[in-house]
Amino acid sequence: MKRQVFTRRQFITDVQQVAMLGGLTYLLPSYAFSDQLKKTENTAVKTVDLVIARTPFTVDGRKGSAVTVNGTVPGPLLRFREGQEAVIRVTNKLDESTSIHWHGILLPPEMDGVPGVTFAGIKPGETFTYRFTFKQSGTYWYHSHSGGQELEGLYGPLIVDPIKSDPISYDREYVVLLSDYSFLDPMTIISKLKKQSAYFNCQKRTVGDFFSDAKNIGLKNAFAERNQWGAMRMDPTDIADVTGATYKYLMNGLSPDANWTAVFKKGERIRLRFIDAGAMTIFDIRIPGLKMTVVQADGQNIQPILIEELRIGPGETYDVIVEPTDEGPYSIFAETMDRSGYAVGTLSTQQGKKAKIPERRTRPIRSMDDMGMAMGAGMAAMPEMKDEMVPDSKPVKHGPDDHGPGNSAVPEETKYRLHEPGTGLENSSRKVLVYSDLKAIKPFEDQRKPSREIELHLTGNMERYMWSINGKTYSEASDPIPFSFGERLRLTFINDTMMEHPMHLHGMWMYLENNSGSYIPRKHTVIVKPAERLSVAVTADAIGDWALHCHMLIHMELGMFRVVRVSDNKSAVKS
Amino acid sequence: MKQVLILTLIFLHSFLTSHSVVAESKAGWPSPVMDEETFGLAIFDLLEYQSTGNNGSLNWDFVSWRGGDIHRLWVKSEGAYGLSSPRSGDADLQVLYGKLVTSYYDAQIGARLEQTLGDGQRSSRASAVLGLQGLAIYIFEFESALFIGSGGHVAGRIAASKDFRFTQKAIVQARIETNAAAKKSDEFEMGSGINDLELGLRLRYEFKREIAPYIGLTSSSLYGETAEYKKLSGGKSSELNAVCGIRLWF
Repeated sequence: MKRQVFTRRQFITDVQQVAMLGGLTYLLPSYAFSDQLKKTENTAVKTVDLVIARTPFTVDGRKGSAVTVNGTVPGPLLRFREGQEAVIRVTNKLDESTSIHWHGILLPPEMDGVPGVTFAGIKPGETFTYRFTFKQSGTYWYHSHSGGQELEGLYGPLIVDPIKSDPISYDREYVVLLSDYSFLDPMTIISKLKKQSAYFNCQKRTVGDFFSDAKNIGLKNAFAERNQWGAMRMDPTDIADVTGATYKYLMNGLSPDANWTAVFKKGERIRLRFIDAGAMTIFDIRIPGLKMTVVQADGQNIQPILIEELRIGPGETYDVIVEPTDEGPYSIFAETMDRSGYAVGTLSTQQGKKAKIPERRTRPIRSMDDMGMAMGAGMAAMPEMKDEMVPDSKPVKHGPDDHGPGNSAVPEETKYRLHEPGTGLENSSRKVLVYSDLKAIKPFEDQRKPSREIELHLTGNMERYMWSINGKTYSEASDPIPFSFGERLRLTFINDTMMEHPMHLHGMWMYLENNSGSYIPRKHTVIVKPAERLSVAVTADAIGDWALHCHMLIHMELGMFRVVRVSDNKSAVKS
Repeated sequence: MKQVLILTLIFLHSFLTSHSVVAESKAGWPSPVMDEETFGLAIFDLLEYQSTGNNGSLNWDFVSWRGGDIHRLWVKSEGAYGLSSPRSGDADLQVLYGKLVTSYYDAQIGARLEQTLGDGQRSSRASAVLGLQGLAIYIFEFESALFIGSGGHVAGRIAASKDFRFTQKAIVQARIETNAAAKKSDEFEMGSGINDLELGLRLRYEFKREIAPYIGLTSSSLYGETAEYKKLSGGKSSELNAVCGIRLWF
């Protein structure tokens, strides 16, 4: 059966340019340079061979090392078609076990690639064959689920083309994969954080800041504000754990100086597939001079929404359409949430151009909302409230359980924050994408009301650099969370900490209860803001063990991780 | 003593690295995360030369821990060594087990060995230690200990410090420490009641977080019998001294 759905112009990869830049210093997959991604062949089965190895890696002239897929950072673009069977043979040339997880893909649990949950991992010298059929389309990505390998470069983009014609029309497309790279090895980063949790925060408030605040808001108010934070033993500048103090932020594997460039022709509709493959970094993306139409979130088409800036957390993807009416150049500017650095590339009609870097913003500070400070006595609802949260829902009081020493800051109340853009974007004059903007193209099939609710408190102790769920690390509470096959349930994340946690569920969609009625969107990763109470509905339609964790990878490694077990209770009773 | 310490270490090690049994764990599969790793810190919060008139002295305050989030083994040492002749000084070494009892405090229990240093007759004594250490409200580093020795020698120590950041690298540490004892000790030239109060201001520059040279001022006051002992050996009961040193951790 032949299907001709490509109406877009075909462009040829500039081979010379690949040779030139690729030969310089970077380890780059070819798609980072190609101005037209090749569609996949329309075969029933597609076989791909991947080799994981440690490879020298240079950023801005400094030599380090990376864990690579087929020799590059990011790994190669894998492109399949919905309905196609993938056979992916992964060979491990490291001296430790490895794995690849297909982030956001619905597949049999044994193909999910999480060592210790779905398989044993791929031992050194072994080849593991992943085999599964794509039941979905969209922009996704893949990465290691073993130790610190993702922090060292083991990630890459994964595109699944729709089986029917793509409802999103475009003339040209680019993957824009954002990541963070440090010359420190992952265990060193983690041990520095354990010794001194603010090790990488070089934007703390100073005595001088106190006096300038005193000048602006009065000495008494400035002192009261400092006291409030001091009384909670918290630092309002605690925005990111690992920052530009050690990270190089990369766009498609290139540092800002290396200027990744996307070439276009005037008048084209360009689809940019943004992927945040950063281990610990939330990015705010904008293209000064252009508005972006968001058409897809986490691989799922949404009702188009015109915005100027979007926040993307580790694990998330967003596809946008831009239509430049002149030649540019434009900056594709991805500033980190703590403003300690940025990844940047250029959108231009020709190579070698560079737009001005937009004016840098100052590091934001956390607010009392982020701490979950009660705003008025008697306002908050009691914790047994089980209705869907809506924007004007009353904040919910925290229950009596403070989750023990692993949880240092118990918010007095948590609330619906899906309509808020988040720390650092509150007073933006630009239209910033918020979660309540996301609406499905058409209602998803399962519109049942959740029949029960599971509350998961996202907990941590910043002083000790401990991260957990309900105050317990995975090892302290490793019994799986039971789901019954076929049930529709609500997962409510209650963020007791003052940091964002991009929560990722494997194997099943999370339908984000963002007050969109039957049009609620579905995601594989949701950022839960400080002191937020965020609910997702889940249809437990995939039997097996599935990981559920924070995608700040160090938070995950230190225990903000659980296993969800979907079992068929009926068959269990029979047997 | 050494064997006891080794046995304690072995016990603690097996305790700290023990693995919980995962329900229905798949044989031979690794843990999906590394949340049972142990870590460690060793810090010379003070390592300095103190000018005391024409007599200088070398002072240190060392703290280290090794372990997980909840259970840790602590080793601490504090001391002063006079460089003028006749040389004199004292030092202590503490080995403690600590448990995180609230989000911000470790309760500690263990042993302390005190030793006088220098040219004169040396004495030493051992005591049991009960401690509470952590981050106090308003972000003060807080350390307290009760030392219980034989013969009714009960003593206490409280220390607190707070950092004031002038730039991201230039930081002033304000520090206060006081010691008290229930009973006087001739060997250690300490009286009963409050023995001393030391206040310090130290400006450090963090070239790296781990390496920060500093200069500062300390004011130390001795009280009661402790002050008398000091006067007998030709010292003053109250002094203002300049210090220079380096704060190191690894």
